[in-house]
Amino acid sequence: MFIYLIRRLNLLITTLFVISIISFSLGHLFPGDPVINFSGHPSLTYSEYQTISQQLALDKSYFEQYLVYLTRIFHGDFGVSFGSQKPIVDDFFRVLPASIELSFYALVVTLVISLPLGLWAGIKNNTLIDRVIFSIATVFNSIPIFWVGLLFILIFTLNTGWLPMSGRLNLLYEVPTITGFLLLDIGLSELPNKGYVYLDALHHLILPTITLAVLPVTLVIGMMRSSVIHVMGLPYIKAAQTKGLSSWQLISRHVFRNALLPIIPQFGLLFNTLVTSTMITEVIFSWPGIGHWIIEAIYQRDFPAIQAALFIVASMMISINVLLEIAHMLVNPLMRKEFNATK
Amino acid sequence: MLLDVRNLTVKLNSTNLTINAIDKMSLSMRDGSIHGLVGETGSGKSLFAKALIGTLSDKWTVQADRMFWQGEDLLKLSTDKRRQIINRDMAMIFQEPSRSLDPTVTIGEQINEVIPKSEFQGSIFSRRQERLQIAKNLLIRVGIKHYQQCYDSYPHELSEGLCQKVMIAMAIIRSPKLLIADEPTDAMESTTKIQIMRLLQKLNTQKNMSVLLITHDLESVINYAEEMTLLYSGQSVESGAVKELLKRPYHPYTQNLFKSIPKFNTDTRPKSRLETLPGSTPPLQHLPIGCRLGPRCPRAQKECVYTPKSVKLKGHVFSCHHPINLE
Repeated sequence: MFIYLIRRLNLLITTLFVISIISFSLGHLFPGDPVINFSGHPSLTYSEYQTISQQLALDKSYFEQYLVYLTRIFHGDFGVSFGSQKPIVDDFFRVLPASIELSFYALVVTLVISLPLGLWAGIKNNTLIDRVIFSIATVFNSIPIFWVGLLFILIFTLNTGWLPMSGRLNLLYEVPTITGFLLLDIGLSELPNKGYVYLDALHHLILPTITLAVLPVTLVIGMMRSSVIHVMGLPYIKAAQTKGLSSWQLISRHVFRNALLPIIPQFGLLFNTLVTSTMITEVIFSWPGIGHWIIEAIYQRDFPAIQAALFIVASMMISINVLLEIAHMLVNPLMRKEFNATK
Repeated sequence: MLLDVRNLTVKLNSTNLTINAIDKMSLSMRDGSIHGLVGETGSGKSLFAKALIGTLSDKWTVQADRMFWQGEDLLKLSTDKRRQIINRDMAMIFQEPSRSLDPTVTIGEQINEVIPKSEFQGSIFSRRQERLQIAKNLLIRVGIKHYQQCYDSYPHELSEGLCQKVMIAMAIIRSPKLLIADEPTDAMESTTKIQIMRLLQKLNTQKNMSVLLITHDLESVINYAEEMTLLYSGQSVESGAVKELLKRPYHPYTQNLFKSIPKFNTDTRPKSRLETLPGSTPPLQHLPIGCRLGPRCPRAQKECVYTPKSVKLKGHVFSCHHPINLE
């Protein structure tokens, strides 16, 4: 187990190392002066230029520059943004909670909808129900997410007017930022009409969450369905049938668990699609999150911001993937068997 | 009569043809006996067990003149009712025990979930303790010494023999009237094999539990079973008391089968070849018509293209147009 953890840690560190090299080289590869790209100050006087250049060791070899870059990253200093002239880390963590909130709800919706549907389709394999679920999943899997988002806006906002089109909250309400997570903030704030604010926030959440959940839902339905079909054909399910369990007991105790465990590592891939989809969704619904922020940075050629965002988002993704693998190892006894067998 | 199956036919329905994988097979079992069901690989032994216990998929159809379980025709009952009776009275153990246990659940939990509610005496609060006690007693009863260790293990951490004992423990908790053992000692070493067989025998004598022993291991049938049924390619060949069959088989196939085992064939000279029938068992898509042994049978004649009726004679039931040892 210890060796396994070391191995995963090794993978994590190596990948982070490669990412940091790519991120570092971007500073030189972006058009413009490296001093400006690394620091983020667009107009510098000659003496300022000299000091910063020396601070960042930009007059020395690439290797020394890289070391200085690494130390800066460890101290959380990614320079300042061209646009706002504030430290990028502050900007980043200001918008991060909104994205996490949206992704989290989408993830919950995904699991709540797709696992039961996938299970159902897998159990009723080759029946009408299976075909209906699987065809709908395939259709939605093939529809581009930005189009789904626009379609939802068209139907639910422009035609019917049931749901708001963009943003996190109606402009009438002003909720002070404490944690950055809107639903928490509302709870912590001392607004007189909290109920209405909650309702409004939830109304704003519905469309982005569903739009974001569409793709992962279809993916998980597919994974779960094939996993269930596989498990249903295994001898221990047949054996369990003869033990006098009801079909509900059989499914909840044996089928669900065994079908779910092997697809846990694939949830890592799900996170990857979720993050890219989040960026698109945030732009469509003007959701003030990371995706929105990165795309703005790209439009404005805010090189320090792009560089930092690349590094932070990629590191987060890799950490999540590694954590998921370790979690999978902990919950799946079969993984431990394989690990013991191969050492 | 505990179990009485007449002319059971199990059909495999594929898109363009239907195959009778089991063709008019009959089997009857007395209460409290060990009954051997013997046949070569692919002769439909396991299929019979699955048809009996009702775990066949939709691809198969089961028909029979009658399938009496303690005087009740199982095929005439509704699916739910049949399931209920089967769950109450029958249990089955499988040939690959480690693959028949859920790999992600510990042995203890798997045993716990099959303990019927009627086993508990105490209140709902002491149930945990009680469960533990029942499970441990079970494990001891099937001869597992390190029961605590076994209780906490996952199936992949146990040997095949231990897994089979656990399967038996799970089968006997409901004290079924019939235990179907589908090649219970397949691919096990001989000491484990003997342990398992002795365990089954002990359960049979002590608990009056009938055992349907499905195997291709003729020796264990002869050692442990009282009656046996021979199956060839989905057709029943001959059935009767094991000793009678050994002494005087009426069906040419039975005789040949016993001859193929050196132990029972006293007049084998050293280094001579063992006697077998020419050819091999037919595959399902090229089954001969009539008596399926026909093409390989040394005594086959014109009538053998029709399926022989089963004849009852001196306690044997056999299906052959030209039986031997009849004078």
